[in-house]
Formats: sequence, structure tokens, C-alpha cells
Amino acid sequence: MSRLRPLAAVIAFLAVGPLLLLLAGTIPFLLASNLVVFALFALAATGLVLIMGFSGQVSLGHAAFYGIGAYTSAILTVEAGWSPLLAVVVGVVISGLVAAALGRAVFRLSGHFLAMATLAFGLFFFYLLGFLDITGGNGGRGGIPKLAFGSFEVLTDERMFLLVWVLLGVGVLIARNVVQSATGRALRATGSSEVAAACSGVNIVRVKVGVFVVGALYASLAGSLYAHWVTYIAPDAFGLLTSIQFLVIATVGGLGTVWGAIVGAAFVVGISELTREVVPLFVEGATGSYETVAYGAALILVLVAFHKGIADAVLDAVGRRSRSARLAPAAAAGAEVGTTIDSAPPAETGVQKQVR
Amino acid sequence: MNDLAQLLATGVTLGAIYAMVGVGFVLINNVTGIINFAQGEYLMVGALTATTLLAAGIPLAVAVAGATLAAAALGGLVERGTIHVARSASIETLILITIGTSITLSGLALLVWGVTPRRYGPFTAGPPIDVFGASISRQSLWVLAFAAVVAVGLWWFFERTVVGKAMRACAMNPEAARLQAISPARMSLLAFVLSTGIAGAAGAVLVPITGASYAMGLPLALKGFTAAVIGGLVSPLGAIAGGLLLGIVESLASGYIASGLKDGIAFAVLFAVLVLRPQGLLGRRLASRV
Repeated sequence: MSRLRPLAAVIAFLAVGPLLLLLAGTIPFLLASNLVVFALFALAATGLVLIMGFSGQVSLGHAAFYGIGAYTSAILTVEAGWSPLLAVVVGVVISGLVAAALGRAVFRLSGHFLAMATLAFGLFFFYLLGFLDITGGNGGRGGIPKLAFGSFEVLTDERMFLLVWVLLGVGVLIARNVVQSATGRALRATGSSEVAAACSGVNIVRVKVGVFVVGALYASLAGSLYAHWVTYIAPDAFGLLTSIQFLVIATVGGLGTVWGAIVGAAFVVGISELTREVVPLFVEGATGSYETVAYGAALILVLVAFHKGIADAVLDAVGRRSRSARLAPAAAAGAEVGTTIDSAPPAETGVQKQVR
Repeated sequence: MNDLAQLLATGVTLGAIYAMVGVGFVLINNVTGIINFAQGEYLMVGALTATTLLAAGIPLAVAVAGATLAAAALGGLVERGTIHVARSASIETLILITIGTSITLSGLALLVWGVTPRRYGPFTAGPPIDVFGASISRQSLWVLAFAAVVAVGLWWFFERTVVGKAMRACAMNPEAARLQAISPARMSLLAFVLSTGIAGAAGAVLVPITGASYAMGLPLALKGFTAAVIGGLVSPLGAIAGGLLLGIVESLASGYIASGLKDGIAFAVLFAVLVLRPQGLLGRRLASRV
């Protein structure tokens, strides 16, 4: 029974995809192209939900892995003539290796130094994209082929959306299984109390590096798919703003549930379309850059009000705190206890982190 | 040789700017444990407020004071409205809130001041001054003087005043500070007001050199943060030293290697310091392993 429920949820989820496509065009802003962006963002951010929600780490450089996937796909298909599918896989492998190396280097740090290190990594990666010849510098890279399975080419937005939607469903299912596995329990234990987890025999560095790698794979896959969909990529799509977008998606959607990124991505894409299309009608000369106000305000409001995101708050309110739907009760409870201003140590150590 | 002197002079000016931002990070981090990513936005608010006041015909000194007050008031409001309300959340959540504040403030500034960068002339008119073969603009001297005043002022505040000592006590041990009737919540507010006030004034001093635009905050915040990290993130004087070091390294790298490398070098330095010496190049070793 409890084993069937997530499967049923995923099947229901897969059915929503074609339904959304049917509605596309009838509701304003609900276009197939927006749906693709929504699904890609949700896929990439699901990886971030795993990293942030379950192991309690903050990554401010998630867009770098999105970028590694995209540029690996672009370079291998355009320069070396590889098939897109193979390039996607190689991109995922490279992202995993980079994430493992980065993880091993930074997870010795505790607390927010990790967030800072991932931020620095993301920024450095962004500048490399603009600086190197192989990435095409600031001009970016074009002529990237569309995905193809044999003679079936993913040319239209509709096909692309269905493909990404299925991958998203599989991704969420895998994320759920990761969280529910023995490793996942170690992961959640690490997220709520590193010291207690370490005392129970959990190798916290290995667990954290592991989830960081898995999270990076999601971003890389989404990035590769993005490159094969738009066929032209430039550094701007992989900078700090994109990392912040992923952060908003994961946080606003909810960090306590693997479905959070989907809620968050719908929110972010909705806001961005709304500000791009509606605000210019009222404010003269306004452009899409106004959307950042909405992101920022939403991030502040949600974090101040809920601490753990919308999806989580809804699940709480509905009271469906069943094990399959609600995955990190300990972490949520931990966040409520103690105060920050009143008990913040000047430099946070692993031991003090546990007190919160 | 003249090249070197010129690059060093540019680096020191750049470094003084980073130092001003870095000091703000340290002040807030020391008392609250929070990395305030919105730090650069208060410089932006100070810079743009000063341009508006000057454009309205208000004298320079009053405009700079107005920019300082505007940024400090905004900083206090943001602290009360976000950080104080959410104070029971984890440090990571509070840091994310400051990221939200950062993009909100720069977006709001875009609504208020528009996209076009603004600028006003140097505080004192005149040709650049020649020092050891390097020509230094007069505004650079204002920046350096301002940085020196902030450095001395902060030293005096933390070492010689009761409030400053109370803030240090809070940073060392909030529980013990409470037992001495020091309110960590009030110290948090004070840290935000002080830090954003300094940022606002720094913004006004910067305008003749960098201009003022809604987007100037984040890049400055990242450089200032790097400066603070180099200094160990706990000492204001360390942040100033870190800022100067970063400014000089950037200037030399863009002068002798490639100008496109400037920002990349800063972030590579940030990453290397965080991974290899998280206590900062100038900091002492912290016990952080469990």
C-alpha cells in the first residue's frame, strides 16, 4: 500500500503533462515554450532541494552544474560531432566528477562557509565561460543540434515538454527513493544534527558529498536538455541570477518535500512571464528585469513566514504528515527550536550548529 | 616603474572601496552570525540618494549626510522587518533572506531611479596629483581619507566606548552578554544601522569614481565579501587589510596579465581562501571540525 502510493502519485503526475499541453494556448502565459522552461527549472531545482532540504546545505552555485551540462552538450555536438544523447550523458558524468571534487574540498567546512564556497565557485565558473575560447566567450555558442531518438527528432516545444516532463517525473521518483533509502535516512539525520548523525556512525562528509553529486546530476541533465532545446547558449543563462532563481524555486516551493521544486518552478516562471508581459503595460519602459523584485519579495516573505517553503506549509496545514509525503520532520522541528540572534556564535562550529 | 606605481595607486583606491564594503560584512557577521548579502545595495542606495539630493541643489556635505542617514534608516527597517521577525530561523535561512533583500532593493532602485547610471563631479575640483610617478585623482584621496576615518572610528568605537564593547561582548558570547543586561537583539539592530550607514556614506563618496546605478550593489558586495573573508570575517581591520590586498592583486593582474582576468582573479582568490584557509589569510585558526 505505502509502496504503491508514490508510484500512483508519479503516474498521476505524468498524466498532468499532456493535460497542461492541452490547456496551452487557452490560458494566457501558458505556452508550450513556457512549460518547457518550467519543467527544466523544476528538474534542475529538484537536485537543489535534495542538497538543501535534506542534508541542510546551501548551494549558491547550482547554475554552474546547469552550465557544465549545457556547455558539454554544446561543445561535444558542435566541435566533435557527437550525438546529443551521448553528449548529455558525458555532461552528467563531468558534472558528477566536478561536484565530487568540489564537495570533497568544501564539505570539510561547516555552516555558511559552504554557501560562500559554492557562490565563489559559481561566480568563477561564470567568468570562465566569458573568458575561454572553447565556450565562445561572451558571445556564447550556437548551432547546437536538437535531441533525436533514432529518426524521432524532438523539434517542437510540445515534444520537448513531454520529454522533460517524463524525466522530471522519473527524477522526482528517484529523489524520493534516495531520501527514503538507508542513505537517505543518514542524509536527513545529517541535516537535522550533524553531531548526532556522526555519533550514530554516519560518515557525514561522504553523505554530504554524495547528495551534492546527485543534486549536480539533476542540474547538468536539465542544462544539457536546455542547450539542445534552445540550440544557442551564452554565459548569461548560467550566472548568479540563475543560481538565485534555482534557490528561489527550491526555497519558495519547499525544502521538506521532493515535490517542492515543481511548485517553486511554476511560481518563478509564472512571475517572470507576468512581469515581462503585464508590468510593461502599466509602467512605461519597464523590462523583464522587474521580475527580480518579485523574486526577492517572494523569497523574503516565504522565508520569514514559513522558513521551509510553500509546499511544506501546505502539507503541514492539510495535516498529511504521512511518511511518504512529508520527509524531513526532524529538520523542520530543528529549525523552529532556538534563536539565531540570541544564540548565534561568532563563528559557527559544527558543535554549535547542532544546538539550533 | 611608473606603470607599477600607477597600478599600485589604482589598486589601493579600488582596495579602499572593497574595504568599506568588507567592514560592513564584518560588523553584521560579528554580532549576528549573518552574511548580509544586501550590503552592496546600501552603497547603491547611498550613491543614488546623494545624486538625487545634489541634483536638487542641496549642498554636498548635506547630501552625503542625507545618503548616510537614508541607507542607515533603510538598514534598520530591513533588520526589523526581516531578520528580527525571522530570528528563530536557521542562519542559512537568514542568509537567504538577505539575498532576497539584495535583489528586491536593486529592483526597487530600478523602479525609482531607472536604468541610466548617474554621476557627479569630484568633491574637490582640480587636476590629478602626482605621487611617485602615479597620477592619483582627487576623489581617490577622498576615498582613502574616508576609509581611514572609518578604520580609526571603528577602532575607537569598539575599544573605547561602552556600546562598542557591548557589541564585542555579544559577538563573543551572546548568552553571557545577556547576563550583563546587553540585548543581543538591540545590538543586531545597531550593527545593521552602523554597517549600512557606513555603506551609504561610502556610496556617496564613490559616485565620482564609479558612477551610481541600480546594479552597482551586487558586484561591490561580492568584492567586499571577498575582502572580509581574506581578513577572516571577524575583524574590521582585517577586512580593510583584505580589501587593500584584493584591490592591489586585481589591479596588478589586470595590468600585467590580462584586463579580462580582474573579476575572475577575485573569485578564484575567494574560493581558494574559503577552501584552504577558511579562517582568512589574517585570521587565527578556528576549531571547526567535529
